[in-house]
Amino acid sequence: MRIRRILLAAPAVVVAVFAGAFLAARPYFDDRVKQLTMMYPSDPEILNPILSTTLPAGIIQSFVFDTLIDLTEDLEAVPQLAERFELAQVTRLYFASPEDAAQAAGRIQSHRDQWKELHLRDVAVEGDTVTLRLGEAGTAYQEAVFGWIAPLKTVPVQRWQGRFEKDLTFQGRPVTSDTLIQWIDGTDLAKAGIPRVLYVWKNTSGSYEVYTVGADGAFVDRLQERFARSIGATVRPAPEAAPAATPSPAAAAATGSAEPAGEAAASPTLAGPLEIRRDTQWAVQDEPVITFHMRQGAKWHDGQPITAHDAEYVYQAVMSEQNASPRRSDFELIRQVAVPDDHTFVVTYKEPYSPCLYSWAAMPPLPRHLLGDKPNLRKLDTDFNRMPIGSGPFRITHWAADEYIRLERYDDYWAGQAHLPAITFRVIPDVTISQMEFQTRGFDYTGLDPHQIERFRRDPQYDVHRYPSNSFSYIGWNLKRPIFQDKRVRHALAHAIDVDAVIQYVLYGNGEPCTGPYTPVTPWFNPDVKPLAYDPARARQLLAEAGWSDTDGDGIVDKDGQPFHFTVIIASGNPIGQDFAVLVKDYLRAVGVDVGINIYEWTVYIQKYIDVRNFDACIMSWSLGYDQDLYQIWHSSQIELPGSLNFISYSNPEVDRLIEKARTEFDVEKVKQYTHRIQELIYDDQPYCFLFNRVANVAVPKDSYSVNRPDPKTGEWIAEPVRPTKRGVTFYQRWWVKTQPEMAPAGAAINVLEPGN
Amino acid sequence: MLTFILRRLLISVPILIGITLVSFFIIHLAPGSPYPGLELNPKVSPEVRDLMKKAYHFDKPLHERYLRIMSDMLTGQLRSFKDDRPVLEKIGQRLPATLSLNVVALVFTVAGAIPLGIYAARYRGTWRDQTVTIISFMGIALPGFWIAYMLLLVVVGQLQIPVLGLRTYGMVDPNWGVAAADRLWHLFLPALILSLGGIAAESRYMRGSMIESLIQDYVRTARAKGLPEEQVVYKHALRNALLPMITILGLMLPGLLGGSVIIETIFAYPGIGRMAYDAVLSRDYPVIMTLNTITAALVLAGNLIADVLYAVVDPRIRFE
Repeated sequence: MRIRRILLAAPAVVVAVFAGAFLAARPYFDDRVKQLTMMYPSDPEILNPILSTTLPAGIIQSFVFDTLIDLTEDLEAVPQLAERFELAQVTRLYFASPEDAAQAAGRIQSHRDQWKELHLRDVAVEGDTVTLRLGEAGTAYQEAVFGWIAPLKTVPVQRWQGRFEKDLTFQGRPVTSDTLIQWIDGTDLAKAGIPRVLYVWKNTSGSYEVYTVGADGAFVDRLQERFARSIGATVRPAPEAAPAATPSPAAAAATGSAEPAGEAAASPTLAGPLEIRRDTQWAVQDEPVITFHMRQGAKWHDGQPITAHDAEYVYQAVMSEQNASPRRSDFELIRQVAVPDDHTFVVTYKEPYSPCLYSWAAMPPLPRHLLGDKPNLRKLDTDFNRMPIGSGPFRITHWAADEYIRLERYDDYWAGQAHLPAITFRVIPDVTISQMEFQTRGFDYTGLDPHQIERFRRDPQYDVHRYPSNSFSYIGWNLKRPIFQDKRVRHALAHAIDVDAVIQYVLYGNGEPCTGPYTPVTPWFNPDVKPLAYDPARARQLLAEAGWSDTDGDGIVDKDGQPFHFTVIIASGNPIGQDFAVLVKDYLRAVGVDVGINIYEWTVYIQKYIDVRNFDACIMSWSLGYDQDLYQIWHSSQIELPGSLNFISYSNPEVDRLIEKARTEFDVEKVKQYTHRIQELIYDDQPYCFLFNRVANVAVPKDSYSVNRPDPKTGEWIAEPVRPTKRGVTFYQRWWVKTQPEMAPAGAAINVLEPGN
Repeated sequence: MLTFILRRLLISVPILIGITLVSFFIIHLAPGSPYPGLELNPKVSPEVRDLMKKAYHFDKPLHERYLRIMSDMLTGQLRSFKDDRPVLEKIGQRLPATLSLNVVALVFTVAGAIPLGIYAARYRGTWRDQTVTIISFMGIALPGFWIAYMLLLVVVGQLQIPVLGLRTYGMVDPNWGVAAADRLWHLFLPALILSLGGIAAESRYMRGSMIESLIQDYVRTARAKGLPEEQVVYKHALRNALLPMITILGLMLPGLLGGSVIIETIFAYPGIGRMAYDAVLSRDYPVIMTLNTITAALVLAGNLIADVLYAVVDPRIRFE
């Protein structure tokens, strides 16, 4: 019977076909152990450094692209595509008259013997302006120079922010520095002795930044009126930092607090159709200048030379509005870039901002010859966003969405060939499966969750490396809530939680108590700040001092008839935070504080609670960059800005001042002094309950790789085992060598390979 | 017949539009933004986030965004929020992986379910039928992901055989035959898991419809005129018993594209199911909308095809 035979044969045929396929492919299965394979749980999506936002993209880009400068494991800036770089500064001092200027220049000249220690190179005077050229950036020279020129005073420099309904034009052209100055010169403003407009800048938000010398409120009123007349808009002047004596009822109702709205007044609202407000004022105009000298002989993966034009292109592409690059904030402080010749790239900043160097270590030059004529990088007609032509030691040769990306060695790499012929990045979304696959050598490196660590540590096939990660977890107290406004209460809450025990319970010991906004990985960390000890008795005492005591005997402390109750919110998908919240609830209950826990999906958590400050306390972590700048998170000017990161509304004038100093100081030692003090102050204020710095654990198969790398400073080759650096185990991965166990038995010296062999 | 098909096609248009409307508003009612990675990033100012929102028309009112998404979708210009590639291109890229997996799974299902159903029906009420029944119900009851984990514990964990993804990573210079065999091998386990539930369920349908056939008068007539039992079962009874399977196969058409999120995730298989799941998690509205629309269209088409096939194989069915 034919049908019957077919029906019976069908399953047998199917099984036979697949068995055959398995047997044919099987001899090749073990090849995988000979390759370096990395694993990530999700696809990098975009590999164009201007647009990418995912973590895997950042890691793959670090193999494919070189940056102008690189940061060593100790966070020192070292040359990469730029052979060397210099930091300098042009400082302009404006005076009331040319006579004053000449006199001041003369006095500075007369102290020529002290120039060297101030890095002062040249003084020039032109009209009422004295120009200083410094061989260093920063404000360190100021104290001495102001002393020399006293009692002469400089005319201060201001930055104004203007926001308009539509773009400004003058005689049919968009307003730039030239047209604005020309326009002012042609009006009665000029006759009225109007101060100088240095330049105009249109920033991301569409507002104009106007830099002036010696301008005051009256100038701005008139300028505002002029602008309004030129675009036909109505003027609604913003109150200039008018001290608001009473809080607005709406704000008080929303936060449930009745504190004076002092911070609210510091940042006027930007509601009007047209307004100009004073932003910042400086005694002098400091413009740091970085000059990059490009390495000659470095080539793109398509063989074209890498020049200063490629570096300039990155700046233009990031700033192009059409590209809508998420990296834009890094470059907003650049006033101009210039390419005097093919190998020199000069960047001038609007004001001193010392972390600016870090942005050049994060953003690589991009090939202008391939992208220069593309108006919108988001809608490229080429494959650049997926398989970019890069400058690093590896080039992308295969990319399959959500499956794998293969990099192969780029043989013309300027620093010598990498040792590994290829690296494969695989995507395995499931955690359980990826651990199984790792144990079959399906890939060669894995991060470990706390509960996996012991298992791998006991397994003789693996090396488990530990290193402190650059992130910390905390409970943020919403300081707009009255219950958290007393510092004693915040200290009491910190004393009530046994962080060491929590680290044991939740992280299996893989954490260190956290003592402030800097992690021990960075040089900004202050090791002298000691964590507040677990001391429930002290906690109860502090609560009592603050007026919280259990008067009705229900076990919960109360004050004015109100029990001490608050709700802590956590984002879902943070199991460690959730475990932690339960422990916190327990610890705080022991000192008479009642805690509720709410869990929300991440986007809801951010948009409905954090962004609008609608929470009592939140459990979160920060995983930040390596620079010292805490402005966005801790500066009081950020409190009222929508969506800003000081969502707990922390305000401390001394911290504000130190943060401003730290971000304008270029001398690492001085920055450290500032940051160490910042950490002391913030830890003492306890606006967060600082919990722990995670310690990362990773596993690699034992003795299968080692490192053979050029030293970034001396160029000498160093052979060493794979070890955890401050920036992780894979920091030197581009120089990993596959060591054959028979060549380099455990403990034996590793052969030093010549680069390129 | 032709008028029937035309009428059904015409009715499908308003249904499809309704489906896109409902799905558009449901996904926009859910809170969230397509840029979760940019929230709370000190290096991304609120202004830059606004700029990105503008680039993706998030500053426009909802109805305008709907019209824009629909017109872009129909002209094939819709682009993903995540990587700015055309959505159709993204789907097209995943199509071979998804189709091959689901076709193989369908082959497994049919090759397994029909013989099993017939076998159980022929030995109805005996220990053989009961064994098949117990196994089938186990297949229906056990969740696929659990079976997958257990299988992988053995195959990957113990036997160390690579089965994840589309191929073995790091094979050195395989010739095309080996590469093809490797790709085929990587289909085996995910397709097997995907088809297990199908085999279990479809074999129950097959058994039921076969039993119903076997008690029909014409089967008794065939037996009475002395035909061999084989011929009675496989010629007279089977033909009619296969009719309901057409409906079931028609309903499986959208599944050919949809795939399974869970199995694709466990097997690290880059299919459309995983893309859809990731798109939902990251609020990639263009991808979600396109996939919803395609799935809806396929469901409608599958129903129509099943109805038409009915008329083709069963001369008693007529559309007026």
